Amino acid sequence: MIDNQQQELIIDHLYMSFTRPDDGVPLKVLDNISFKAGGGEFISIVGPSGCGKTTLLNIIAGFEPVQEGRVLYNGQPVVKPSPERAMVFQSAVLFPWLTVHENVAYGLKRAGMKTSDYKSIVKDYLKMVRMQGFDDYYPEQLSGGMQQRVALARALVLQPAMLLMDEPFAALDAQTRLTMQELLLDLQQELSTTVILVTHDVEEALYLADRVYVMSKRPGRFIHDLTVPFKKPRTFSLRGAAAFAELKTEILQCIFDQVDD
Amino acid sequence: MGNKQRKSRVNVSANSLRFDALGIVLPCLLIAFWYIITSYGRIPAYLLPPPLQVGQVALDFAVGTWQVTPYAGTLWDHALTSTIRVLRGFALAAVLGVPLGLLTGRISVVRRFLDPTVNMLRTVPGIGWLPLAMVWFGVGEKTTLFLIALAAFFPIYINSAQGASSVSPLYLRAGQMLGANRFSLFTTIIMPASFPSLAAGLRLGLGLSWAFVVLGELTGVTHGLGAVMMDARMLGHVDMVMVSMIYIALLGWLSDRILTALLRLIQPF
Repeated sequence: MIDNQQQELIIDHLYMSFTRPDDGVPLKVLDNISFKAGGGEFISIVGPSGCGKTTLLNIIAGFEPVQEGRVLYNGQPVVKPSPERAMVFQSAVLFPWLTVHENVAYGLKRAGMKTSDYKSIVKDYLKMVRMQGFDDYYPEQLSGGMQQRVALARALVLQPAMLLMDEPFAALDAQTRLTMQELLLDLQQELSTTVILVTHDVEEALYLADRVYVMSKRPGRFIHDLTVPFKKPRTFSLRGAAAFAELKTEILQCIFDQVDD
Repeated sequence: MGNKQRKSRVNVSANSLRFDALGIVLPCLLIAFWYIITSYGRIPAYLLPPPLQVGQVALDFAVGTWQVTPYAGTLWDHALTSTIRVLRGFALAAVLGVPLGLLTGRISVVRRFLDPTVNMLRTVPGIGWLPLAMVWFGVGEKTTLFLIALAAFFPIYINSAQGASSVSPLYLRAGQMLGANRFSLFTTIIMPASFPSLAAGLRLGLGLSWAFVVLGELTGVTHGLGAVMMDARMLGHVDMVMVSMIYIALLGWLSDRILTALLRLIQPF
């Protein structure tokens, strides 16, 4: 249990600003962000669009450099992307020249695994995301939801300690989104991967997470955080519960107060 | 490996192969017009031979049964010579153009070093190199190879560079996140992602190779379809000139089909 409590990721007083390309004026994006993540916890970060939540995730992934503050992963500063912190993007970003099977095998191949070894592993993970039998399809032949399942398998097959998700279901239709949320909830229970999910969908954030951070509009800072009291495994009926609605309103209120002023 | 699904591309090529009756109307009219103006003596045969004569000469050039021209039955010899020249020049252009183009597209130092020079040289028309090539390499084989390689290099280089520079940064991020290092990022992301553009460059390059093999062969070699053309012109065999043109067009078309099939074999997507 002590191992479970260990914090893998530490974000400490993180600031970030971009230089606007047209006039060179610096644009503050992140304002004093601090939080910790690890131990198989599911964290959601919600906020209005353009608040810098994707930038935050990109920094954690190692896609963008740390300007000010510290981002430590297992005690080491994050300087580049790593399969330990796997990302699922808003669009699936599958490699269109590879089949579904080859897409999922991509990371295992880079890790030096032989075809004979990864073949069955890839099949297991495709089954896990309910995509068995689609091995030889090309991404363009799949629907958006199916592509995102493959992207999930491609990340999870590397057994990352941390899964970073950047509005992964935002581009999907409403029904598919619900199905994907259920799938993610199941998988996260099964694999106990730490997840950081960035989303603007408050219900999604609440339904999936153990902890929710609410971000302000730009420059983004945390204006509210709450521990979600509902036990896992959760079921669909939770969405209709009064306590769920109350928390949802609390978070929405937080965001609206921001937008108004 | 299982059967890979190739839905969309197969459909596209099936479309292009489908017979469309409307497309055949204009060629028929042109041939009819050609037949009429030549058969009633309006235009003498030494300027424009009638279609049937050209057809017979073309067939004779291939099989040699009628011996109507001094070139009867020699098609395969000349076609093979020209094809080998095209392949050698094209291969040289591809071997240089693809890697240099990909590097130019990805590495800023290479681009800044190469691009201005290439763009400057590119503005000189390919034909404009002919006199200089003849001075440097003499008349014949080497000049032809030089001209082909030079002409085919530019579209291959430019399209490869274009493809490599427009690879989506998201693919690169996905690759890095999945554990690709600098080298494997190049071979497993940048190269396949640039492939469609690279393939277009190769096809353009091959087309130009056929144009420039003729130019090279016009300058005093004894073998090759271009040489036959020049020789036939001097002997007054206008029919042979036209027949050579037809066979060059056929070879160019055929080689493009083969190249396209090969490229699709490399990357079925």
